[in-house]
Amino acid sequence: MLVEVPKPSQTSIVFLDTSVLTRYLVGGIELRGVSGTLEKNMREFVLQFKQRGIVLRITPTIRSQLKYARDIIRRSAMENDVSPGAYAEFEAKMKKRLADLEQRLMEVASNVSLFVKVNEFYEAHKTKTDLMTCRQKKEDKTPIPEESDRLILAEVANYPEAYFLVADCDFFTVDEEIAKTFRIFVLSQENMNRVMQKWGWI
Amino acid sequence: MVLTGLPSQNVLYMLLTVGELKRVEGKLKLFKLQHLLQNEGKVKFDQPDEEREMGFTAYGALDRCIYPGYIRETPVPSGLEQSRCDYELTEAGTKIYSVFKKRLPKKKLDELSKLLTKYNAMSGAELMNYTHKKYIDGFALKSVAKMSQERMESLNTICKMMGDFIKSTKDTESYVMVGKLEHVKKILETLPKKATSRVQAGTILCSTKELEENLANAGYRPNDATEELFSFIENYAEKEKMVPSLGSVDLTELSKEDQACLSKSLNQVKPRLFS
Repeated sequence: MLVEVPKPSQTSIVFLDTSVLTRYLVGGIELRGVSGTLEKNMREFVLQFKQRGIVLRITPTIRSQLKYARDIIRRSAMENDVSPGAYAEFEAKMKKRLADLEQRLMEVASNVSLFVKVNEFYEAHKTKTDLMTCRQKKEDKTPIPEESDRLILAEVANYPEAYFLVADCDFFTVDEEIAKTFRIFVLSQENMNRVMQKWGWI
Repeated sequence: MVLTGLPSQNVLYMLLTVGELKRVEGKLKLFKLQHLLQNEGKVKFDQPDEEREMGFTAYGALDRCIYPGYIRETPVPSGLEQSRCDYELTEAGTKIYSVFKKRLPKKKLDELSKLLTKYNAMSGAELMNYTHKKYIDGFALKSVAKMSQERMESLNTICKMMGDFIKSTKDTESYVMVGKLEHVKKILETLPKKATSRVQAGTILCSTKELEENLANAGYRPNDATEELFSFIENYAEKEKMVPSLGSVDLTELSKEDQACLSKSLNQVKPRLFS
């Protein structure tokens, strides 16, 4: 059964997860064999919210991941012999996009008091076929998502009725369950076209 | 024409300028008149009055007129911080000028006198605008290609040194700085074609030299000052429509090889930022 996602208003709380944000920032570079169309759609989705003046929010854990992302990416680029000129171009592009987005990007105060509940949630759903496939694809030994992902969901869960834009299968494979347990609307490549059409955005 | 026992042609024509006009108001005007004697009066100086790294040769000629006492320099209070100086021939200067004048063909002397009188009617600032627009920008731009080439060679050496440092230390700040220096090289490459004035070209060339010196002083490690200098060069080049700043191109415009390497490196990023 598909989750019914209500149309957001200007005051809706909309979160971006790290993968959406980083994908938005590196737009144009192919990631994990994901098609360019999907990347483009994801970017379009973020822009649709931006254009409607809806504030996009991130949690403290996402901010912290983003803070360290630059150095991690730099190191990886160096190890893969990306030419310094191309890398400087790439990093400047990311910086420009972030500056542009930051006018409508806000970090919320949040706590992780729901972390235990999130752990219980994933424990209860760890045998769900989609989630298991996702974990296998990531070549992780554990069927439970990484701690940082669980922390992010615990932070977002502080805001019932919030929208959560994700590109991470650890979230979207259990979107129905997240909606039922935490009253959070997960938006991803799996449902974005459908909901945008329903809202009359496309 | 060889004038034994007389000063250099540069000095003699400076004496002629002041002698014909009796009094020249302002150093700027004197220098620009000197410049016009060469360019429009077709006078041949011993040392052409052209732009050097340390200024114009006319500066030296004036010194060689003042110190031996051929020209008198009189400050005229203007109410401004820097007073104007007026120039007149001294007795010694007049004597030398008279000898020189006699040795010039009458036609040439009349021609130069006419030219000086014509341009003396303009103010120093007007003369400066006129000569810069007509001659000096053209002059300077001829040497921009050579100076850009020098800076590019110097940057190549720096990039190579920093490259060796990066290999041994894996320093990410230096890695990005090398990328930024590549961008400065792009700007220098286009400078001879894109610079429309000596001010534009000089700003880029001087700032690049400062950036190199700053890196050298810091042992070729990027720091706040080098970042600031790079930003200045980058923004100036964009503002003056020479080269768009870094990050202006679409990432799909990068070479296929660079895109593939970037894609590979992003997919290897841990913890996963994109999954």
